[in-house]
Amino acid sequence: MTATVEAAPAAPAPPAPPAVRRRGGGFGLALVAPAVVLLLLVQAYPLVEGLRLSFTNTALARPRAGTFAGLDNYAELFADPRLGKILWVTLVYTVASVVGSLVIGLVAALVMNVGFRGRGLLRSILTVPWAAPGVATALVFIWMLDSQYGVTNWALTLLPFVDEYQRWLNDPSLAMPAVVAVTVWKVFPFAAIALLAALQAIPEELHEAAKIDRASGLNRFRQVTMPGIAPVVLTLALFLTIWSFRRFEIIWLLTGGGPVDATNTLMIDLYRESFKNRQLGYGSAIGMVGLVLSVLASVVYFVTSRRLTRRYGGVS
Amino acid sequence: MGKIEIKGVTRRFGATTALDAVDLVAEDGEFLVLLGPSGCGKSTLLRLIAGLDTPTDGRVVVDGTDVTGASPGDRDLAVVFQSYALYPHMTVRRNLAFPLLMDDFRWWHHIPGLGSALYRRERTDPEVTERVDAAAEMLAITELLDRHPRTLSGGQRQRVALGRALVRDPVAFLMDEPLSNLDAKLRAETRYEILALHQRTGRTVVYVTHDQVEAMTMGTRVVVLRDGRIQQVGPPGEIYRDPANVFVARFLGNPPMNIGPGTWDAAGETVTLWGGALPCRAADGAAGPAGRDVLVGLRAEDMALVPDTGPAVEDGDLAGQGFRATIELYEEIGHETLVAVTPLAADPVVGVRGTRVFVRHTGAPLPLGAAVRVTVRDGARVSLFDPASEERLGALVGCGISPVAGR
Repeated sequence: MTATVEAAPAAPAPPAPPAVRRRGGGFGLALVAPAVVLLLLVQAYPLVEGLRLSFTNTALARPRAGTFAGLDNYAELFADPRLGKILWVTLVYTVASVVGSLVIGLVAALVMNVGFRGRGLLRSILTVPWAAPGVATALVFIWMLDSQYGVTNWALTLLPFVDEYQRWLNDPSLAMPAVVAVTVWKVFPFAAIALLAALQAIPEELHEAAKIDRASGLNRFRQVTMPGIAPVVLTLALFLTIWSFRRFEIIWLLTGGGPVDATNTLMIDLYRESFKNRQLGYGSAIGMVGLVLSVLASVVYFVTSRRLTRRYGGVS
Repeated sequence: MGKIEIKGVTRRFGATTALDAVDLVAEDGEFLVLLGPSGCGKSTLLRLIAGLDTPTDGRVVVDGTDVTGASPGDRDLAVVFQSYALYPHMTVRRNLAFPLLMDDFRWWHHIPGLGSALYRRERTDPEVTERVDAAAEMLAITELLDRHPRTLSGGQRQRVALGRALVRDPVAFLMDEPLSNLDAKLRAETRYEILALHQRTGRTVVYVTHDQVEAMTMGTRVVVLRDGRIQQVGPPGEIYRDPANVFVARFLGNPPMNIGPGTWDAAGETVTLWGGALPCRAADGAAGPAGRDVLVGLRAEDMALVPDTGPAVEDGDLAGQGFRATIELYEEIGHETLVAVTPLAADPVVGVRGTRVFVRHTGAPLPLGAAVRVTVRDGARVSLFDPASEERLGALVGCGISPVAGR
């Protein structure tokens, strides 16, 4: 490119192609510019604004009256003895809902991968929880988990060894399992559909070759199925993790972060600080911590994904 | 060991019958080729033998043991798949060792951490490494052992797939169109490799293909299948020479056997084909159909053509012989020339392009459109088929012009 440009003045006749090519670079930039501007507006501006807010003492009531407060918010946040519990609750919620959704989603995908009558219908029904609005889901489950009138308690007492009603959403030791269960119910169909697609992409002949090679069912799963779906599992894990960090409406409507902060994740705490306690600046600092956690999850994903690629390569 | 018997096997998929009461025996050590067009049931038959599918009816017997309901792993048969089916996340070494490792698998290898002890054996167990190395050496893939399948070329993958079958030392190899994903040159090379492998191991091979060249060059016996039924079983030469019916005659050989409607006059020792008389005498089984309408089958190399100088040819030993035709097309294949001619008396409704007869021509080239006479060579094989059932009636020996010197 450089050579052609330098040569152009010397040659009198046709310097047209390099000129066009050089202009092409600018033209290309012009073409992507709208997308870049849009991304900057939609992604970068809120991010920078959130970062700026986290260094101010802005209050919700007077959002323009905040003044620069340095690292005060962060100092306060990291000095708060509740932070450890919040991070722990976030971790427990994230790990439990991601693992739960992946495991149940995989079981569902494996079942649907076996051909049977009504498979298409089941697959459609399965997408309903995923498609249903989170608020509606939460409201339905509030009733189902109600300690006195809920169908859950009634159904459980039909079991021979259960004769006590549980206060699912009000018992500090039961609230987290209940919230995770509702989350998994809502999220696992997404995992199931993605995993089903991955399962169906594994060539049937690989399973047959493994059968010929005397691999048992469990070995075929570990040596053929798992490697085949590993990239999808990894991607799903990243998505589900970040979604779990950010999940709000289900937890907020079911428990509001309680009882006794048992389900108080980072996101719930952010909302409480920003909109209940009206400390927008402090809430933004919490948001930045959440952002760092999401970035960490992405880093883990990319490192693992690269290692997978290096070890196995793509599926040939 | 290595005798495979198929006894009255039928396989139906819903309303369609893929295999219809097939009886077949692959003798120990033989290279049996299942040949037929796509959809003829040859792959289904192979899968039934392998245990990847179960017959609707009938039995599969390996070395006297009924394995009809047995799982694929219990049959001690190795399968080479068309797509190679190599495990993509395993190195070539582990792909080869995998069947051996699975043989030694115990339930407690599933306990996290303990399984790695098993997989370490691919490098530490002398038995495993010896067998893997021997197979790799036989197939010249030793330097590929530590690579992953995705980094290999098609031919290399094919050799790894063969290696994985070889490592187990099974009683028989089942191969499902193993060469069809290779380019022409590699296909020829790999063909010899598979033959060499068969000779070295002495194991039974059941080999599925739709490629008649593979069938002819590789099989000790060839099974021609059509619509789930066996058409003919025999050594390739026999099937080529004496096809059991019109389908086999047209399916095998390139160009296919020329077949036209004619009559056989045993008394006059003449076959009439497209208005021309071809002098023949009866050979095996052909005495019966004398004086009746037949379908006449002639291979390209069993015919000869000479310039047609007029209705009454007085040209030495071609006096009054053969049917008249015009030259339509030349096909040079290096060592020989294939000439397509259209018989003048051919029934015009037979095909859109008319009847095309292929003749192997060794004389001086004739111009396109030239009028020629086509007759049988002396000693040529002439097949007769029943016009209604299209089944073989018998064969005649041609008494036409003497074969070209050197043939």
